[in-house]
Amino acid sequence: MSAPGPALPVLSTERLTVRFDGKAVLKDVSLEIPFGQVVSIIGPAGSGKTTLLRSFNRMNELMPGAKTAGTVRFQGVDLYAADIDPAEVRRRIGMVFQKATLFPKSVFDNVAFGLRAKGVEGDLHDLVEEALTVVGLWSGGAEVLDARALDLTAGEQRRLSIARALALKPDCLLLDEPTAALDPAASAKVESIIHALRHECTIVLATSDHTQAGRLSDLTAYLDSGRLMEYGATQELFTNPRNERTESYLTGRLP
Amino acid sequence: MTDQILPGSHFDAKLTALQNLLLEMAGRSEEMVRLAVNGVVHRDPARAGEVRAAEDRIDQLELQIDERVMELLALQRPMAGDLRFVFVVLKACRDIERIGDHAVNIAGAGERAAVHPPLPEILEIAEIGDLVRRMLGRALGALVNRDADTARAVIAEDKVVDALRYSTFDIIMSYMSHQARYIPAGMNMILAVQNLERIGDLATNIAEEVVFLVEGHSIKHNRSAGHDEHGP
Repeated sequence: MSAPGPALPVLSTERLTVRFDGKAVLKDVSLEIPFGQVVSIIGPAGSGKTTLLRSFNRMNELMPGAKTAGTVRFQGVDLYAADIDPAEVRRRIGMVFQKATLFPKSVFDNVAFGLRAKGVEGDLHDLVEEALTVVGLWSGGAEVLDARALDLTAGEQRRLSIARALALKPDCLLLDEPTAALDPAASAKVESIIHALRHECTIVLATSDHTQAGRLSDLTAYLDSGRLMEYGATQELFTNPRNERTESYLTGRLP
Repeated sequence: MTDQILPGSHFDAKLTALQNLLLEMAGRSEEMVRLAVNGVVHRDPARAGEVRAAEDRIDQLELQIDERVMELLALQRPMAGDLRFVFVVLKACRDIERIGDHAVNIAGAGERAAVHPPLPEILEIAEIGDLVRRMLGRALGALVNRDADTARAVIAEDKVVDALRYSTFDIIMSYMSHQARYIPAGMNMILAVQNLERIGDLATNIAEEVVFLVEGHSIKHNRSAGHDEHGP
């Protein structure tokens, strides 16, 4: 996998169909995600937002009964080819889940876990502190590193989850409902992190809050019943959607 | 597209209420123009007072629309066609308020002209007045019906207003150049016509906004209807 360039889509799908126990959750989805962009996936509940997100780092295959057809490429490489190591895929394409999956350990251990799993040895403090700085959790005191992750507020836990993904220096970051159940202040902090990261890596987020997609993303994809109904510049899609279903969804008039 | 405002939801009711305020504002400004032109044509200075009195309500409606738009943007976060609608209402509201201002200017010109020796009847002034009022009414009708074709027809009519303005100027100038006593009234007639022409421009602006509302793209400054640049 070579370094991404601006001309090549960093991620792409071609006729991607994902079935769970025979039922198609994603249907023939083809899209390209350019390098260095923030892309939002919006749509009603059950439209396939999370499934599409999980397709980008082969997380669906961990689910029983899942079958993927079509192609998913990362920098032009077929992610589902037999010689591709899923663990390496997940390192290069990090994911932050809707519910923070933190260990009942210290903040330091939570961030260092991924680094150790990757085989990084020695003093990890610099790498951990760098990741915590990006998400605004590092204040220079050891007490932060030693704090129990599960004692943090919901917003801090979400930011810690992002720090854990960032510590691995991913090329892409996938965020599933990054501010779900957070209060406005905590949501604003997470959104400002996403905004600041936009030039560091490509970000794809699935969100039920379409106003968040409007605030954060360069491109927006609208999924409906597993189909990609519309995909394009966020401003255009939000002010003048071409698809009737997109219009109905955005204006709260979906039947 | 689901651009039509559908009855039923709380949000839809707010959009409909906003539209109704705009229609009331447009109706009152149209009446102001009618009164002002009547005052000019019939040399009736009493009309000027009626026009000025009507302006207060226009100003109140403008403030109400501003408040409701702010509330809708802050609390309802309209999207797509709804967002374009709110945006267009805000812009049309400004245009209608300025139409009211121009009606007051016309009424003032009529008031001043009435104390000077009258010019022979100039039918074109009433004709321009009828035309720009009809343009305004059709532009608002196009907004309500989301009718881009009618909006484009309104835009095309602005060329007629422009042509009438110049021919009316010629008529007034010829009277003024033949007899100096016509100059004071003639100057005010020119002012009235100039203001009517601006009302035509503002009705055209509203029609252009309607095309944006319906089709999602702006035709301002690049329109195919062959509309001339607006005057000062």
